[in-house]
Amino acid sequence: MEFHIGEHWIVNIFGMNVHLDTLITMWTVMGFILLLSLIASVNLKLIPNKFQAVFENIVSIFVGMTKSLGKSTGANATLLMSLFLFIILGNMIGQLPWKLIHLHQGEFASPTNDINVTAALAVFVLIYYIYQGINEKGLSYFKHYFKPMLFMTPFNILEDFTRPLTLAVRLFANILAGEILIMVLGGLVFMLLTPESISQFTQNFLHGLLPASWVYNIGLFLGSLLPLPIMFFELFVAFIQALVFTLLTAAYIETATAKNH
Amino acid sequence: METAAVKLLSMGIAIGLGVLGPGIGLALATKAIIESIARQPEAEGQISKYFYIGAGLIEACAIYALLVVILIAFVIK
Repeated sequence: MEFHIGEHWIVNIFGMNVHLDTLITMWTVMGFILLLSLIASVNLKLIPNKFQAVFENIVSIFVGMTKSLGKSTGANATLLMSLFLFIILGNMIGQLPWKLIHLHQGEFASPTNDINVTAALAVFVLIYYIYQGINEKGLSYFKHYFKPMLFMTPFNILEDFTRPLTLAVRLFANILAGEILIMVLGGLVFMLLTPESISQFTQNFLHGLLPASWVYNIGLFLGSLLPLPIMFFELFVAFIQALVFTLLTAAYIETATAKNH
Repeated sequence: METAAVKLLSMGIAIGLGVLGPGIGLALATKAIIESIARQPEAEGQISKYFYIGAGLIEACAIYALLVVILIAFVIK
């Protein structure tokens, strides 16, 4: 059994090499979110129906998170909300049976298992929190590089590089590791269950009571249920990783806009 | 030694040593949360929220080791 990790469907569009499989799943997620929010916001009522109430709850959670994040509450809440919704849906969409669609190169999976997507998100977070710091404190934002003493300056500058790096790699590696785990567990059946071993098993242990093809098919069915618990665990991981990404973004904006240092 | 043998050996060492630290970290975090819930059972919801986030951060360290193993196995020729 052969595994292909990190292979993508590369297509040349306007002189750029584009991972088209990632692009398609990413736009599926974004289109889904856009469609739902459009439907929720097109016919607003003072007494909300169930659908509107759900979205009002989501918005109020993220507005509540931005209380200590400087003055531009609307922009912060919008960024955190978009990040969270995109990442959680992007992580979860990989559990759909995308493998039914065959591509000649690569395969459809979560958009967040491509490091280009997570790196773009992380770099945007870096730009955004520096912008918020300057917006809040003016040019005196750059004084924090020389705090608490001049000796610490290289480490403070290094921090601006390690923050997006860890943000990107954490999300990417978690999702990729989950998909590899599911792939390995799913492939384990074909490694252990061969027609020869099944025919030996039926002759030696079942004494030919059942036909070998029946036992083989039953074994294949039971073995295909093997990755199921990991898939449920991946839904949990999807939520946790989206939460960690959003909370770390909030923490970075908070340190950038904090008044007293 | 052959390249394939070195690759197998280094994959085993990398994942074994890389999981060691996060394992100890998760154990310490679990110990702390059980102790604090035993002391204050009414605060369980609030404490476990932070535990899940912390566990996600700790788990990421083990995933980094796995990432290195994947790099050795599939990317480095």
